[in-house]
Amino acid sequence: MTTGALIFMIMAWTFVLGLTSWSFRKLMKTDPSNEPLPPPGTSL
Amino acid sequence: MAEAAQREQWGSRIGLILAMAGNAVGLGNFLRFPRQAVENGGGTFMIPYFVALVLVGIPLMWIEWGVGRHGGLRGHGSTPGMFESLWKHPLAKYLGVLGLFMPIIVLIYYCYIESWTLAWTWFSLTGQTQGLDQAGMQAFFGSYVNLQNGTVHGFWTPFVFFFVTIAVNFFVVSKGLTAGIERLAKIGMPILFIFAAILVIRVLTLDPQPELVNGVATGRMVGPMDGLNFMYNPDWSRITDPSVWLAATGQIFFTLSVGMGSLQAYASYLKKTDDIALSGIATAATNETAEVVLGGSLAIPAIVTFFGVAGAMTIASQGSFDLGFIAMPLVFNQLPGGAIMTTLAGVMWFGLLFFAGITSSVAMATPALSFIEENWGWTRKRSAWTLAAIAVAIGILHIVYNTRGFLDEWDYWAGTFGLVVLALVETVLFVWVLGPTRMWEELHDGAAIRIPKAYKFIITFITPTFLIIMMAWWFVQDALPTLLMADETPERQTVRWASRGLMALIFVLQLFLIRAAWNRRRAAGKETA
Repeated sequence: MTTGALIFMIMAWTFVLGLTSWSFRKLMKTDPSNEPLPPPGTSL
Repeated sequence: MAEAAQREQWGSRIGLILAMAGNAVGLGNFLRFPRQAVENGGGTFMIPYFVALVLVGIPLMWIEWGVGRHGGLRGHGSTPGMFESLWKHPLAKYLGVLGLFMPIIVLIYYCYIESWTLAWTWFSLTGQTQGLDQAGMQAFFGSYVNLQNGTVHGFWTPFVFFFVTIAVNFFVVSKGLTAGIERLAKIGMPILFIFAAILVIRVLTLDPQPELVNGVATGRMVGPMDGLNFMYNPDWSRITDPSVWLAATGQIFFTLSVGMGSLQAYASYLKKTDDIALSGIATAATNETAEVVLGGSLAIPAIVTFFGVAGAMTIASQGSFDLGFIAMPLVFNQLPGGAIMTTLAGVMWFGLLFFAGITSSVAMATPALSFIEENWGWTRKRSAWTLAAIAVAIGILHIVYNTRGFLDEWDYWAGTFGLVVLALVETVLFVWVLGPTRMWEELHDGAAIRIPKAYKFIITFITPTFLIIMMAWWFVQDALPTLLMADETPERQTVRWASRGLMALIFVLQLFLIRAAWNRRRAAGKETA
């Protein structure tokens, strides 16, 4: 594999798997009903 | 609002996410995405792809969840009512016809394609594709999709698999939301991911093979890493090409199943306190994992290993179905491990495509079922089996006239161009008519995360701009030539006109049904918004 291809693949996989694991971790942590909002200004 | 209390609700949050993700994960994740990537610059395609995901895909996901929940809380499970609840204008409900028309049109031909995956699962299990060479595999596929060329299959074979597929789909939806759709998602999605993961591991651990170009050995060895290189090698000359950006945006559109009416229908079963901000992202992310990590590591690396880069380019240019139904079975025939491995790989590949398909098609049936139930008071079972009968009757036309452009017309006008039209309409209604401030509040009702403030600007201005550009581009590039049917034979033109006529008839009929439904509501003294 060329370095360029490897970099693009790693970046794509990291973004997708990172977003998936972050969102599911966050979903598992929050109570499905009436979760309080994080403080205003808190970013993703 | 009283009606809303009688509506079903999702049994669990994970069930909801899996059903939503099941709706999004479809055949395109495994067949369309790899082709789009290799044809549009490889690694550099991923730049516009992720830009489109962030600026169009995720915002549309939130908009559709928001439109659905907003309408559902007012007793509406389909877009005519949802749109009227957003815009108190007599025209609003008629604009909502798009969210009834598109899913039902796509559902019918999608079930036909889905029936191929069921058929090929059976053919793999019974070893019917084993030992075939490229010409044999093409004849096998051609005989199935072209009834006049019944060299291998009996005339009735495609009909049987189509009827079974329709029966399975409508059996699931007839069971209702939690006992049918949610249960299917909880079973089908894990199976899909397990099958895909096993196949990815098998493909990526294949030994390199001697490369052949037109049957002549080049003396080079090619393996799955060459396939990944082919997928991701950046072609920087393509990054400024507008068609690449539009192809990437289009892929995001198809893969997330936005602009269809089905996400809104699923979201209509949410409560006001249910989160949509984080759940929308989780759904999109699950779909992207299936597409980029699994879909991108299967077909192309496998095909490059056994056909070389030049062979893979030829196969990719011949279309997604050649890739999935001709090239992949040929790959499985060459896997080490003999007949058992060929059978297992074939069953897993077509099985995962079937689950990807059915979890999407049951979602497409939902808006029409909700519309019938809510406005005519039919039971779920009665609505489902009536719709199944209609789908069978019309689906037969697809089977008979498939190779003469009948399906292509429906796929273009409803399954491609129409999606952008619906997405634009709902964006205008939810963001501009309801107002950006109300829209923002709607997205944060029950939210588990606070969406970054920049998204208020993106959803209000950037997403609709993207949609307008995409619609204008597609209209000039594709819609006009498709409409004028340039380069089509007179016979195909006749079939395509008949196909359009039937679509137009269904569209007009649905407009009348909306009118009749609202007349009934008025007569019953029900609130219409």
